[in-house]
Amino acid sequence: MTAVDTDRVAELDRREPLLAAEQVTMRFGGLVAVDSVDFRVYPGEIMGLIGPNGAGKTTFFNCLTGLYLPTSGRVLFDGSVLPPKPRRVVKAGMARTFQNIRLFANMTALENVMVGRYCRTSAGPFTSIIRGPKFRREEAETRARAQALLEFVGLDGTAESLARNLPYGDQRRLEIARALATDPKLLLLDEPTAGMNPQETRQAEELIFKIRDQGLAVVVIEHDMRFIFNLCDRVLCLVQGKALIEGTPHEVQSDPRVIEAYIGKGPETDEAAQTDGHHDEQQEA
Amino acid sequence: MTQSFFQALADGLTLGSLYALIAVGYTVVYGIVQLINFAHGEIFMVGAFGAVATFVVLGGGTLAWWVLPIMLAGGIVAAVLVALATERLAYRPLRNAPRLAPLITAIGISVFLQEAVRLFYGRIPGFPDAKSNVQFPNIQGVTGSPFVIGGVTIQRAAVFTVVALVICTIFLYGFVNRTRLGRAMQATSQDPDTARLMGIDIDKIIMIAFALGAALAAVAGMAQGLLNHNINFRMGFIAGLKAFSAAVLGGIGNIYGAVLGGLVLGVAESMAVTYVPGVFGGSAWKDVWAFIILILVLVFRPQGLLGARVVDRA
Repeated sequence: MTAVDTDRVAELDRREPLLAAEQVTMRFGGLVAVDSVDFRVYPGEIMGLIGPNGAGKTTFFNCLTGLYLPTSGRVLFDGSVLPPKPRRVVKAGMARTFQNIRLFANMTALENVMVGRYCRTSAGPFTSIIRGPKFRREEAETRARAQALLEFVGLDGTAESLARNLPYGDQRRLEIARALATDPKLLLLDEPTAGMNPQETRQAEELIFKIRDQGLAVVVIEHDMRFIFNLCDRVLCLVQGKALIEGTPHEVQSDPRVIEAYIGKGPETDEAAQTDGHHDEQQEA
Repeated sequence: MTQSFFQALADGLTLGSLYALIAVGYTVVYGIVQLINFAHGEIFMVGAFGAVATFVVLGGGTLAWWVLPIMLAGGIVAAVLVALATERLAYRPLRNAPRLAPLITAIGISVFLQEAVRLFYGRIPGFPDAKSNVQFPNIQGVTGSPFVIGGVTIQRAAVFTVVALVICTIFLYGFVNRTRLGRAMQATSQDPDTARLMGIDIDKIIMIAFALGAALAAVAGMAQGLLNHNINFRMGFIAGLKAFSAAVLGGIGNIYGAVLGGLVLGVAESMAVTYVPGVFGGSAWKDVWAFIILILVLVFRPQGLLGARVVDRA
């Protein structure tokens, strides 16, 4: 098991990373939320990001997606620094979902996915008004593509339901479909299984494998350890903004420092860690 | 009795169509940037003056029916350009300012546009002086002898106005629900931050919202000119306020609400003029009714007829 994993990592290391964070630091006033973190993601791999509450996972995520400009260090996507505009980030091939679902609640499932196609389509106001041939072709393509994506994530029956009326697990999958509609090379999932029951979690896992098999790289933030260790090729553990360890699930799982960070050493350290974590989380929100 | 009722209804629907065409502009812009664009009434006025300018420059003095689409196109171009300029030069720099700042700016733009037309329109060679009423060309087909159906008199321009509203509403529905940009507009109005993260260019969507509202306002400006046979630089003020009332009545932010609100307001005003007896009756009080309705709506149903509660939007 370990030997195979190590081989896989070695093989991956020879390729060009799709996403490379170099010494990324993010400071909010006096608080160092992310501290000199290095991070690489290769095409076709699933990378996990774990850490106790307030470890800076979401902040780091926001640095990766260009939502925050790191205080120091840089993030390279496909070999170049990401432009500061979200629109260009999406166009470059990075898509994400959110910790708290952010669908367009009053649009149908299909329309939500079609909005995701926005950056890959180009019909302007004039063709849209006169409904020229280019517009109609593009519109038909967008619709077909959105349908196919709904099917891909297992939501084929709900295309016409309003997003806000979908069950929770479906909303999560719809968010993934919408992200996939942007034709990303890298998909970032912020707690994709939060609030899911075991069955939904298993479905989510299958879906993420399916996405990986399409050649995408996936980065997952998660609290559910079993989920992340089943899913990921490599895992990075953040503790108090610092990279504690990066390695295969097996390496990370068995590292005493990871266990300590989560469970704590003794009663006093545990309490201290909890207060700290609470403070960090408020900063993040 | 029935005859006067149907007459009032016909007049009300005409007036309401006019309000509805303008109200859409308030509501579209509000839906995207949460700004009440009080200069929108002046965009309506610029549309009317743009149409007259097009008539002077390109019409060659003829009043044949085919001048109508040319004037309409000219009015739309003028209104859209002015609306885009106000967005780019005045509102965009204030995008992140407190909400009072763009509101006051809107009032400033409104005064600016009125005065600009009043002072400079007539100075362009060949253009009529705009310090007082400007005559609107009586285009054949849409002006002239009215239709009389069962004793109810319907001006040809009224038919133009109502038909224009119907066409514009169908077009608007298609644009908002069946195009990429329309969907992006909906997405932006529901959650601008997420829309931005999905790769939507918010600046472009805002410009389209302004342009869309301006185009419909220009159609209304044209209709107003045909109905009244003349236009003036102040015409946008009252019309704008009433259209704003209509947008609030329908539920600001909701496009179909604006159309419905405009029609309801127009009919209510017309009915009040016809049926309210005594000192409050007659056309002298007509402007009052719109604002009484506005106040009642704000008190009893602040979200408007079709509007969602603000909590639902957040």
